[in-house]
Amino acid sequence: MRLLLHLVAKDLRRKARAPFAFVAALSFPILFAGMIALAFGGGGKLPKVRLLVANLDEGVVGSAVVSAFGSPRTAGMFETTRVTEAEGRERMERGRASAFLTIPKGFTRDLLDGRPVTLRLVRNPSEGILPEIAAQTAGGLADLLEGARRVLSAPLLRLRPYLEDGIDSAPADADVVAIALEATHAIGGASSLIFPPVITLRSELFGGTEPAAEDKGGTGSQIFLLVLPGVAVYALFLVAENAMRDVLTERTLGTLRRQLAGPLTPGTYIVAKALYTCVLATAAIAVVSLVGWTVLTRPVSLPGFVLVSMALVLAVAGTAAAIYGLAGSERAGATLAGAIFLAMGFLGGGFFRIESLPPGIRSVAPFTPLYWGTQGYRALLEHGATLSGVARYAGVLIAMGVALLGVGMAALHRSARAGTAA
Amino acid sequence: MRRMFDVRGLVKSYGPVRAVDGVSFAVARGELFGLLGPNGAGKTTIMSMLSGLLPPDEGRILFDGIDLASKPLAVKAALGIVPQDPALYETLTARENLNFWGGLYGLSGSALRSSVDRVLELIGLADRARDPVKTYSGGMKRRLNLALGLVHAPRAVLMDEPTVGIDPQGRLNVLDAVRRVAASGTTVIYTTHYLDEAETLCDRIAIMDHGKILAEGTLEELKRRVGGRDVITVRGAPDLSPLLPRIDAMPGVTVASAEAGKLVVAVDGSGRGAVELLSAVLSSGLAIDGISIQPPSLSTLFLNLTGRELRD
Amino acid sequence: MRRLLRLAVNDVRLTARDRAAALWLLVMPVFLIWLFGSAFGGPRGDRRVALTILDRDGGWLAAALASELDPSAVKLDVRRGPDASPRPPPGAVRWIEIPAGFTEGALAGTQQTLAVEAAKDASAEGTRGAEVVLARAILRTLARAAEMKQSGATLSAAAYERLRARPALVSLEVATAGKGATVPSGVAQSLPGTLTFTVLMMTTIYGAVFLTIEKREGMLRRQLTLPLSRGAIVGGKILGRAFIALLQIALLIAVGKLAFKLDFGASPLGLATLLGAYTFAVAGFATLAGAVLANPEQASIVGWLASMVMAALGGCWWPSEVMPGWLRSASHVFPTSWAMDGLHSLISFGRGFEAVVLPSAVLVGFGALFSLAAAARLRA
Repeated sequence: MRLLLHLVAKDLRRKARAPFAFVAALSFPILFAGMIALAFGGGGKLPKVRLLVANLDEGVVGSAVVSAFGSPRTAGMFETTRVTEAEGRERMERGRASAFLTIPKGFTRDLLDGRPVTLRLVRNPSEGILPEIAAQTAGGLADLLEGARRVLSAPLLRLRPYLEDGIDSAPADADVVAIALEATHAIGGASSLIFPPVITLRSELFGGTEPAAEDKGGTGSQIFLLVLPGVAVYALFLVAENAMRDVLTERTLGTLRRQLAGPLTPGTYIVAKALYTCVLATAAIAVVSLVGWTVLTRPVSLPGFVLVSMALVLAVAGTAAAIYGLAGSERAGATLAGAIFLAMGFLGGGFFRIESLPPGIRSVAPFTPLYWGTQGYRALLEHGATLSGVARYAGVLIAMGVALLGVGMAALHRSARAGTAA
Repeated sequence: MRRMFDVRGLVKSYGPVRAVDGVSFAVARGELFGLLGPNGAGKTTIMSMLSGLLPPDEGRILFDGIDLASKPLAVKAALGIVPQDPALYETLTARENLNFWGGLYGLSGSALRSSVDRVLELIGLADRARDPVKTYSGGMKRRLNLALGLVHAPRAVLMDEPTVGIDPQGRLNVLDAVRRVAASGTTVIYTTHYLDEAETLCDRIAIMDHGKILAEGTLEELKRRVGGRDVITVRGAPDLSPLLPRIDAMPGVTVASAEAGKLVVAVDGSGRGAVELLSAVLSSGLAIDGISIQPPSLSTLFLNLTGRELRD
Repeated sequence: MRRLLRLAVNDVRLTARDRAAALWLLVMPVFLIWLFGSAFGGPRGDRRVALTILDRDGGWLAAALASELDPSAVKLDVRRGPDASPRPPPGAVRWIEIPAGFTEGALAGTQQTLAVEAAKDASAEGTRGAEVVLARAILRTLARAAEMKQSGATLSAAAYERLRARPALVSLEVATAGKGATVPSGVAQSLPGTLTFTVLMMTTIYGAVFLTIEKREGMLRRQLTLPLSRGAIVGGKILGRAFIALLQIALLIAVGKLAFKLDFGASPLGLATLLGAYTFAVAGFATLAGAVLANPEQASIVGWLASMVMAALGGCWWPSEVMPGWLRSASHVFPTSWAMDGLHSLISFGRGFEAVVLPSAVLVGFGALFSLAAAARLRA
């Protein structure tokens, strides 16, 4: 035991003198999560859709369509600019807006006359999300206009002369009464279906539900905490890799040979290296957790956190041991580790949340320790899981860690003995 | 003689190459024993086996009566190693390196501190003990390398070419330290391919080549093996074989080696043999580029034994 | 010039001899293209959201509602009868449950509330998309049902279908700017960003690591004793790295064209100019990193971090449109942003050479800046 601690202390002292790799690995999750929080953390909202509108219509419906994009419900989503058709086309070709809506000439007249009308929307092909929002909103408006035209055809026909620009006179009182009666009759028949709508959608998006208090906003700090677990677990693998690589580095340096020429067995040396890796990984967890704790908005189960963390330390140490044990050289090990960790980071939900990956790729994730570590932390942070709630994540990590450590340490033992040959 | 090392019939092969081929020797307590030979002679392989890093294919190693194969840790605890390539932690200071290695051998507390101070004084690095090793010169690193093998006051030290690649002053410092170590009663096995080191340092020397010990003894014993014979080297025409029948007939003259353009001959130190040889060479009519004469030494012994120069 | 080329060729040779190079320079980028492409809708770019309807009602209004869901936006799976029972439905990512009595209740004026439910691992974006599609379907269903009721017609499936079969009065025609192609998705969407990211990462890491190894092992010291200026040595290093990066780009474009049938725009000259300028910028950055950093370990880690940050903020990993305006502008301190701007102009908008003049010039400027800095900082 004393010998093990002596070896670990020496390695920690060396790491303290050359901490660059450790610091860089730890800065990665903080930097990355911070970047995502910056990019997406504006109160959980996307930037406004830059919408260009060319209203060639002379009637009230065209104006109503334009106004719809500035209504209280949509004003927060759209930044609307009125343009001419030529201007709109030119700006879209230069990618200066997300979408360009054209309301054709005679839109009101044709709609009231029951002739088919077409709204035209041009999307920015270099953008995916914002033009889609514009398309769905415009499509919804088209649906609404169609429905209104169909249901209210009679009163609208009577109103027709007054809905086109250029008519100065207001309707006569008798006409108003007649229009009102026709509208009442038209609506009345269907009022049980549409006032209020008999089918509704329960959704945060349409105000049907309120987001849970703690989920409100999607502020930068919350985004930070959403992203941090995955990238922090990835960074842990980097830390463990850097630590376990030291077996092969010491082989190159000659200090491995020297140690094994002393009263030290290869087994003791390897166990000490694994212990050193675990200590380093634990320190890394502590540092990153401290940063995450400063932006925490809800309590997290401490026993659950400790359990997942310790299991993860075992798993990352085991993964690094297996990689360097099976690699023939420091260079080969670094290459293998880099490729495996990068693949795990993408496939296991390290860089992108697992839900955003297609089902086929998601099915691979559970085979990676990164997945179980990330999901364990997410369970604690996002779902308030307690010790029992994270037990299965920890269990899988421990099983993976023990198996990988076993394989890795046996291989490293062979490697250490081979490294003592003259 | 109380033997610290008793090595019998050591064999080690790497594939078809027999790196150590039936080597046997003994080293007495307190002796400074040299293994002299060119690169590739098998010296480092022997050192690896003596330090327990490499198991021999055949043979036995006894350290102070203990069988290395059956009790390796007990032997290692009493051995010090000074490897050929300095194996140092460059980001740590000299003192930290010494603390670590001393601790590895079981030292702690005041015993460790005083041991570290002692070896730092021995190697003359006490004033630089708190500087990171990466700031040291090559010579200083070699001295520290030596100290790491001595910090735990071992009963014996294996030094594998500890002066390779350092400047003359640095080398003198290391050799001086080695002498002090030996003078303190520590048994030392010292490998080198530098003749002057072997001649000036070692109590006894074994000359090695191609995995075998060719000759063993004190410097005087080995010189006597040369028999006080001078070694004459003749360089000239590609084919010097016409000289061979005449040389064979000369008393006290032996051909050590004959190759294209070069003839190496050992001659009795009386002088007559040399005159006769020179006369034969000059009258042969062969084109001769040069003739050199070397007095008896380890170099001439090696040449005698192997037909090659030690630096070849 | 000849000696400069020798330096460059030597670097290329050393890289080619490194067995790991094939993995990092060729295999990993193709893997990442496939991965990102799958995340954006698969090789054929299917971006439709998966949605299951559990029709426990069986009435005509429920069926009508299901028929109004836009098939171009959702991948629909309608389950009726006993198949609609299990909850959550096996294999479903997200679902809508239409309860028994839906049709009768709605027609009688009783409020019917629907919700999109999702499995725990369903993407939130997909669920929101499904809600939008459902909202529009509800709107259309109610409008047609209201029309039927108002006209006094019998409310039936047949009457509803007759209304539905009419040509639309108000339609929305969607086109894309530029060459008017369909909105890129899948690999088409991911390839520009992945190409930009992987070329940056591999060139930076390999370039910086190799140079620091040369520093450590004394080769750079030897090169600095040559009758060559520092600038020439740096030029040789950059040329070597740029050549490897160009090879990598050529391979990825070949994979994109042959395996995924991608269109890289109508201006091969524009594409070559832009990507050539980009490789100069990236090779310059890699050489600067190698000149500044102390050892291969630092070079590897810094290479990673820098590449990740530049790629993410430059729009390689997610559309830059989702970032706040100030961040979108600020990200143009990185060469990746300019490369992505240029690639979008060529590929998404189908513009010609003139569209990449500015981004290419800026990238050349980056390359020049990095090269000068590397020459100033290069030490043995």
